[in-house]
Amino acid sequence: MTRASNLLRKIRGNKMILISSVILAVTFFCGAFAGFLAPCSPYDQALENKLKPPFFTDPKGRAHVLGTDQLGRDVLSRVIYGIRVSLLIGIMAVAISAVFGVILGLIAGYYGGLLDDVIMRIADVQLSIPLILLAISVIIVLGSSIHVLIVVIGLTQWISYARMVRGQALSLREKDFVTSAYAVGASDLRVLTRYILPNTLSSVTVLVTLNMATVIVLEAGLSFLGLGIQPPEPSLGTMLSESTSYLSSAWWLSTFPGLTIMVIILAINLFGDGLRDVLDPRLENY
Amino acid sequence: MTSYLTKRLIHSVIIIIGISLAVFMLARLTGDPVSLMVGFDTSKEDREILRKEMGLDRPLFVQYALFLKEAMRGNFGKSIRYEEPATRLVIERIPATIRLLVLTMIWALMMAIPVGIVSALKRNSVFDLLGMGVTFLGQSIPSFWLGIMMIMVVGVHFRLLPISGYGGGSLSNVIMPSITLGAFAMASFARITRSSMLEVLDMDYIQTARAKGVMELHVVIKHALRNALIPIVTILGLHVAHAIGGAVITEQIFAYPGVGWLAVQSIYNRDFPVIQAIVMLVSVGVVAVNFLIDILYTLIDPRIRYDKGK
Repeated sequence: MTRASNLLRKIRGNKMILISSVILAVTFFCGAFAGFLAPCSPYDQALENKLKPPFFTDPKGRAHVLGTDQLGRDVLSRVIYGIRVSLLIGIMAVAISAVFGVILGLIAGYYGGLLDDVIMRIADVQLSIPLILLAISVIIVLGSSIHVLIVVIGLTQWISYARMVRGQALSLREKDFVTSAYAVGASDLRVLTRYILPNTLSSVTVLVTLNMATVIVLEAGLSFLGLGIQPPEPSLGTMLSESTSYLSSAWWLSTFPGLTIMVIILAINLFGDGLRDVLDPRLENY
Repeated sequence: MTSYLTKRLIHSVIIIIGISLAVFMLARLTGDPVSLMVGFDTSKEDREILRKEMGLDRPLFVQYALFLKEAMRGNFGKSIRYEEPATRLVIERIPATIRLLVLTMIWALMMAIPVGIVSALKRNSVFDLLGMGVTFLGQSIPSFWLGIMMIMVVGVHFRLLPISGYGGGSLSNVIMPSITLGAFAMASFARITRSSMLEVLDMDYIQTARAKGVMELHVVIKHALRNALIPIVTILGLHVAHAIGGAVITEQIFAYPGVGWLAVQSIYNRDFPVIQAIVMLVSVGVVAVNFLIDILYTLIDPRIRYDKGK
């Protein structure tokens, strides 16, 4: 049996992966086809229908399955669009941090010396500044827009990739297949991309998955503080923040966006844990 | 041991210098630090005076030296909003936040360690599955949502606990914020206790202790737990830093007047000097906590005293 099909069999046999991938597939489907799935526009206000509970049907005969918010907008539609925003930011930010972190980790581990010291000290410095505070201070200086948000979140996450890849590059560097690649005259770049990088990819995959959860929570948190996605754009964090004024009167406003985030995070964590069991059982501590 | 601690101390100093460099550069991201240090209504002349004062006409490294000199004296400029020294505003808020953090860490550890131990001892039992299920949930629930839900159910519906404010430092005002803040750390501590207990319980010296007829409780507490605690201490520092970041959101939800709440208010007021003071002081606090943890490390892990110290 080939390695790939063996892996595939393991992945299929893993219940955590199975359950979570169904949830994630639904989530991605919602995000990708938000415009198609959402019953109403997420921006359409109707003040006469404001703060209606779930399963409310408005005079025009449109059902609001999850109720309406303080401006009479359909909560379900906003949640669906919110999923789209969360996933979009999550994917972009994770992509930035993974690329950035892997490159720095490869350089640090492979070349060692001063370069390694500098990169790892920068990581230590950044880890000492609480993430939210770091993000806040960059956003207050640069202003908040979706681009700033993606870059800021992306740049706060590179450390775990860099540390892990560095460790692996350090040990791979000494392996026979790498030294023999040298011996036949392979350049540094070739050794790094052909021999070292591919051997770190399974761990990077696990980390990318788990990191996605961190990043989505971070975006929701920043939006909750009013520093992320700005109203009227639908974002799960912004919806939660708006809901805090209606805690005693409209429970659905805070319940559904939060529940949505939690289910997404739960599914991602399950998926990541399952993937780790299959791909890289040693990777407990990153 | 002393040489190990000396090394860690030097490391801490380097990190603090790095943090100051980061904070210094942050103010220069826009190119004009003065606009961040004063209100919108400040006159051109006043801006020029400040520009001179901050040495912005001098080379960059001179500017940094000036910044560092002032920072060491605890001077990060005046709050734009309150026209008071930014540092003083931050220091006033520190006790409330420390109170929240200490309570959070205490309950998280006190819950997590027993749950982790029992889950490891009764592996695959109902308790283990339930415990790990709950902790998995704890790791996945966004803290701000947990906070909002608690306010809604415990505070607003059942009126059991106050939903906001400091309450003159009454314990009931800290309960919900600290549960909100600690859920993630608790879950993660419990899972780590469980996995490191499982690892340790398989070791030869545990088998030996059992074979010698040492009481099971004694084996668990004295022989196993002591070694299983090492990974917890390792991640404690990361969790403290994480919790301080989390406190920004938690304090906002509960209008709890700590450093995090001040941070958010300062964003709304675009009060950069205060933000700068918060980032600097809090990060130095994190470094200090990590150094204390290094000391703790040498106490519980004798190997460090002998090996790494050389």
